[in-house]
Amino acid sequence: MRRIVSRVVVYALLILLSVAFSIPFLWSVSASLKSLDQVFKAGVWIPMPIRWTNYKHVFDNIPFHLFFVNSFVVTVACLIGQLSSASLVAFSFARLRWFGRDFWFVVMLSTMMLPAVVTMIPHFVFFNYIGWIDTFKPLIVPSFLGGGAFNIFLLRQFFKTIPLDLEDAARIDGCSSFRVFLQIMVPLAKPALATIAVLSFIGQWNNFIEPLIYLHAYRKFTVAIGISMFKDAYGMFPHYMMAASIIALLPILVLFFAAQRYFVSGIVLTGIKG
Amino acid sequence: MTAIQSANVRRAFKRNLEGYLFASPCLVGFLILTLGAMLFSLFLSFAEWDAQSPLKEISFVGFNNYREMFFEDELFYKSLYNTAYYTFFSVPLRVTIALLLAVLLNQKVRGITVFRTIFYLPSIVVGAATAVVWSWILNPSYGILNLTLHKINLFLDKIYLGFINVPEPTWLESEFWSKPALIIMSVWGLGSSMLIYLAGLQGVPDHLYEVADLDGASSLRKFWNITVPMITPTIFFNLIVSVIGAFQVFTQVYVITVGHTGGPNNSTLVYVLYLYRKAFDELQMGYACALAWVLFVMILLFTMLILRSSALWVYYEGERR
Amino acid sequence: MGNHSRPKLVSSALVVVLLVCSALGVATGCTSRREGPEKKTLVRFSFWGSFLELKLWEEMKALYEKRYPDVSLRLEYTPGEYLRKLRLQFISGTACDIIMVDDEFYPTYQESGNLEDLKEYIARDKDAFNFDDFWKTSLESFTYKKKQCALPWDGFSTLMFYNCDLFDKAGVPYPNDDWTWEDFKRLAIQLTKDFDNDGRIDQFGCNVVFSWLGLESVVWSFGGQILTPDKKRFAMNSRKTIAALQYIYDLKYKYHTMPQAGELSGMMGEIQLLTGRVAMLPGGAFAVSTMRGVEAMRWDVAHMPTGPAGKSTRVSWDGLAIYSRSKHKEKAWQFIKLVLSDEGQRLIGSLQRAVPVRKSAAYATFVNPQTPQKEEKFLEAMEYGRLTPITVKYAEMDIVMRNELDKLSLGVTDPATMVRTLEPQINRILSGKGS
Repeated sequence: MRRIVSRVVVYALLILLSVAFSIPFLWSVSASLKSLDQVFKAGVWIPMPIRWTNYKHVFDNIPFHLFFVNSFVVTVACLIGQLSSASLVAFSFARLRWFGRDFWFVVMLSTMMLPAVVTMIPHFVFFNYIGWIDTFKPLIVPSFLGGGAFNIFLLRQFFKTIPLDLEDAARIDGCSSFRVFLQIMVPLAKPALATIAVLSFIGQWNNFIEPLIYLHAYRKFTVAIGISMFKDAYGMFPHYMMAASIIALLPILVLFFAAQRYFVSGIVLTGIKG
Repeated sequence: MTAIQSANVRRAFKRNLEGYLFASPCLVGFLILTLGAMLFSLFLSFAEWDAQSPLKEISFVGFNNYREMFFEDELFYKSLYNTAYYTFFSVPLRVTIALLLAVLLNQKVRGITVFRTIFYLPSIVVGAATAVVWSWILNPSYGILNLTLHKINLFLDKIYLGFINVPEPTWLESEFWSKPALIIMSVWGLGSSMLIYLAGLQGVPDHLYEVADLDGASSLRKFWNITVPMITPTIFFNLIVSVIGAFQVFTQVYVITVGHTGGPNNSTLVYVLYLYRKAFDELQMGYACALAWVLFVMILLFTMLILRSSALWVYYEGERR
Repeated sequence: MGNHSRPKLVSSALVVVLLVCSALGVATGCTSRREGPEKKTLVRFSFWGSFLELKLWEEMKALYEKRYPDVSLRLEYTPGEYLRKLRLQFISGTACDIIMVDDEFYPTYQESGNLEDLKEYIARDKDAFNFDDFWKTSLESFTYKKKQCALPWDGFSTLMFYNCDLFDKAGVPYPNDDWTWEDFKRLAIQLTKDFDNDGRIDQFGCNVVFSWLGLESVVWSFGGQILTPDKKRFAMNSRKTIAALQYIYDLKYKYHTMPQAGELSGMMGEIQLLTGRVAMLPGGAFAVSTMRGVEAMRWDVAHMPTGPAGKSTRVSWDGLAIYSRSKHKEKAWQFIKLVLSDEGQRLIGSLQRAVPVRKSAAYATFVNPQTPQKEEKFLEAMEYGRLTPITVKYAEMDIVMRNELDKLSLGVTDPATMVRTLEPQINRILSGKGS
């Protein structure tokens, strides 16, 4: 009986809250299928007529497919970089003991505390100096250099929750740190890695300002920039913009679904009990 | 030195080398990219520059920027207040609601993946599009939020509780309600915090719950005595990241207050927006850098405080005390 | 440990290094750098706008490359944050050869030394230009301290847009071009309606934005000024200006013909008209093509109402400049000449996104007899149009103006008080003592 009641409660809460949370998205979908004069009409959820052609117009007017390819290249490269370098660094902060570790940990954290607005100029000047403007390099290479303080911090927290006994057992058997890292830490931190994969993908996919300032030729633009081509100082095209942003959402949704299998509860701890 | 002592030294050296090696991507990145940028902005905070003239036009002015900021600038204090207000409300809301949602979404019910996706959706839409959507939702006359509140009011009238008046604020156009509007927007975007909690919850071993079930513990006790302590590392993470993020809130406010005016009587002029305006609208990059460093120090102090306190309440399974 | 550790350490280090190297290799390989064929000169042009502007410049590029086959023009389109990127490029010395500039920040660009003075180029090519064919205020907007560092290529004037359907429904005749502000007030009152009598106004007679750019037209037509002609001092503290502001203020708070704070937020001006929430509002020539996209509603334009000092409206221009550090200034100049030539101007006018700077091209292409609206009124308005007084301190002035006008818009202050508060602040900014 208790089981049934709790199930009902859970479902009721889920449904109620999902309705609230999905309203912004539903409005976007609705707006993407309207004609311009209907977009801001109050309380109209189902457009009349439904303009599927808005989606076609997005591709007609700008080279959106090109932007997709560019976004994929940049985002996947960044993903590889961030996952690999952040996990190495996080392992070092979480499990290795070395002189200056806690100091550098705070330094690493502090890189998140200065607004990007002020570091943009020196970064731009630097990348210009080494000739990386109008390439994808300024967007990708920093991901391999630590992969971002956010990711390092997150993984460090996760690594710290993994019981020491596992590592001790491995080391007694003569494992090097690298093997401990690769064969114990990484497999057990799969949920965290999946989270970073999703967050990093989204962050890079939706990143607007950096690709905008580093890329000159517009055929190298990413999806996020493409969406803003439907917005200008004078006339907005909100219906096209919504359509474009919904198309842009799809790869993220696919990734999100795929990553769900890592969010299955419970780690299986082998051989360590009592 | 004895043989044992030199062996110890070698071991210590190897240990340190290993530590640095694994951390090297981050350290190298910091030294090459970040340190230079940070020092440059620090230097600029003692200078004046319009950020479009050549670099040689930068003129040194000593502590002028800081003096003006602390003693002559009303908007500095106002923007600080706005940011503090926003942080004070949005961080606890985000950190706790995301946790509760994550627990809810961790239940083994059918279709949970679909629900998880729905909750995550608002945080993955591109900034510019999100702004359009929210300015519609928060519209005082035909936005869905006020329409719902209006219906509630009409309902209360009908059941003779008309003296209870649910406010129907003008949200972003109102001096008082504009920050709450921003906070509402930030709560909707808590998808990433929720995801991180979900990942953290996966790390709580099932056998703990099983033992508790055997003892007949209620759901609430299981939550409070098992779940929460086990995910304190995740709570710690979300707390710090949310605080850092809230202090630096910019993009959402920028896109939704078109023309970055700062809102009615500067009520949504958050700190980084003010900084941005000084840098790019008023062409006072030096002053903006000074603002940035003052913010940096504040965030650093706050973070260190939370870090220090963590020894009291954060529990790491994998840590020897 | 002991003997096993060193090789293991080395292997760990190797793996880390290999990982980083391969990653950088991937990154390098991802640079899709496409250079033109060696013998062509590469000239770069930066501009802003929507995808419609992109199309325009693609066509212009085709024209240019056909005329000058030894040059390859690269379009550097920046759909947002144009100023931010431009400034970064100025600092690093990598701005484009041809730069699109706005009139509002123009003095600051010139002062930064990044734009080439075009006076000599113009003098040399005197015959290519027929400046009489340029609209009156256009050249002025890019002249500062006796230098001309940019030339206008298109712009817009502001007229009163109105929703014909709403007029028809109320049985009110359309405005005629000689109407006065009194007529405007009368019409606004007639067109403000609460259809379902729920206390909430469903249709507003008008909506004039309380921004200083939006109110300029009204102020000028009452005989008032924003700044003194030498742009050195605040000039709004006069009876005429206060009368103009009071008139607009009354439209909102005395006659309730305008939406209150937030009632129509989230909608840009033209959309308010299109959805029938507002009957009349001022709009720029750039709105024409967007409004055209809506078939469901009939609309038209009328000249701005006449005030005690006649008719007045705001005019604004966009310009093209040459980067002072460009290595291809001659080729850049050729491009500018093409854009300002008859052919280029007709191309611009046919898009109907803005008024071409050449009168002949404007009359030939911007005016479309096929459409029900009378676009030629925008061109006629150029004759009585005026420029906003732009100074080097535009940004700071704008912020202060906005703050005070916001208060007026919210009804927490009145025109006379507001003007008195603004005066010392603006004067202080203009005299260079900072805000």
